[in-house]
Amino acid sequence: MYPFVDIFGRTIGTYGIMVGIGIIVTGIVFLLILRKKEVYLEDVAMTGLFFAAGAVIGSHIVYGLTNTTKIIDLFRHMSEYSFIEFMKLLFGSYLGGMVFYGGLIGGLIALLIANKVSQKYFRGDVMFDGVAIVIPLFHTFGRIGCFLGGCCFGVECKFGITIHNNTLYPAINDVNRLPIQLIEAGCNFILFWVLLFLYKKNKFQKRLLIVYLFAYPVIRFIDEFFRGDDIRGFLFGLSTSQIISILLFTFATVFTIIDLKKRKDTPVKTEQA
Amino acid sequence: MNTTKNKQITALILGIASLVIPNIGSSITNAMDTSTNSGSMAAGIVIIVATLAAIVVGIIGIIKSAGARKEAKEAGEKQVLATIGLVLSIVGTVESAILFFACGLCIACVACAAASTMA
Repeated sequence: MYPFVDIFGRTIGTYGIMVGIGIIVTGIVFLLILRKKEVYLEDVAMTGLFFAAGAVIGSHIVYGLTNTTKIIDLFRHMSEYSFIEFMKLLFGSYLGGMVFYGGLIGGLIALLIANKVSQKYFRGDVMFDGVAIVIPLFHTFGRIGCFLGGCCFGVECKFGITIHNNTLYPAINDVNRLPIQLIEAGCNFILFWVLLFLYKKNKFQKRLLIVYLFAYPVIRFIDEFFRGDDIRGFLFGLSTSQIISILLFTFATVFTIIDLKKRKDTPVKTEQA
Repeated sequence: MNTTKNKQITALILGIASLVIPNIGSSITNAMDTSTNSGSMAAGIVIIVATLAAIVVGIIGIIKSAGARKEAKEAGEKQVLATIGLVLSIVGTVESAILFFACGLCIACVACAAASTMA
């Protein structure tokens, strides 16, 4: 649609701009949500930094996992490539992309480590709920960026949006496609408000991340059936994101069962003591 | 006595640097002749180096200014400089990251050009 815009004489990708706006808005909302719990600007900034570090690594690793066979092939035929060609293929093509789920898992692992090592900036007991609320908000901006850039497009259909002259993804030009990016952005935005409402009503305290891990995988699993791009790798007839969705949903279910069991056992133990 | 003043000033300088470095990079790029293959390759390298440097400086700025703000708060001192440093570092890092990733195509072009030059 509009993959690039000119700002002050510079040509900048709209996806990058939307991600930038998303980071700033998410940071402000995160600070506003947690301001009553003694969370300050420096805590938010450092949390963002921890999450970003984990997200960048995680998203590239998961993208690499979708290209495992290609990477193995590349290493097998290493001698046939020059050093630059090898590096270009490995880091440019096979590890160069990013997968949202990889970023989410990587970011959350980074926050867990930060919480374990030192709670100087990130205090998990207070801040994980805030993180769960702002993830779908950030994702909303990301998906609008996808729509503007032209990536992650939907399937061909009678109703929808036709895009012309997209230089980044010529495959989407002049074909009527479902604007699945905008639909997912809308779902994420609704999920953000639902989580914020639950937080304000003190429901699912310290468990909002689990609520998110129940809700988002369902959205994503359905959403994937309506996506028209096939660059994310497919296994057993399902896309990588659908398989990760099932795993995350299972994780949330197991966590909830264990958590409920623990809560049930606790009063009994107290009575026995 | 203001015990965290030096740390706050360091944080401020890092914040300013993270904002200025990518702009210096693009000013240099604008002044370069990009009509030739080697010219555009050099311009691409300048932008990549500038944005990467700004991201590194910005991240250090965020860490330093966050630390300075915490210490100043504990010491009961004003945190104005550290706050400005923190905000500038965040803006600088985000701006540089956008420029770096938005120039993904440039990076690919530079790699292709370098590969064809060496071949």
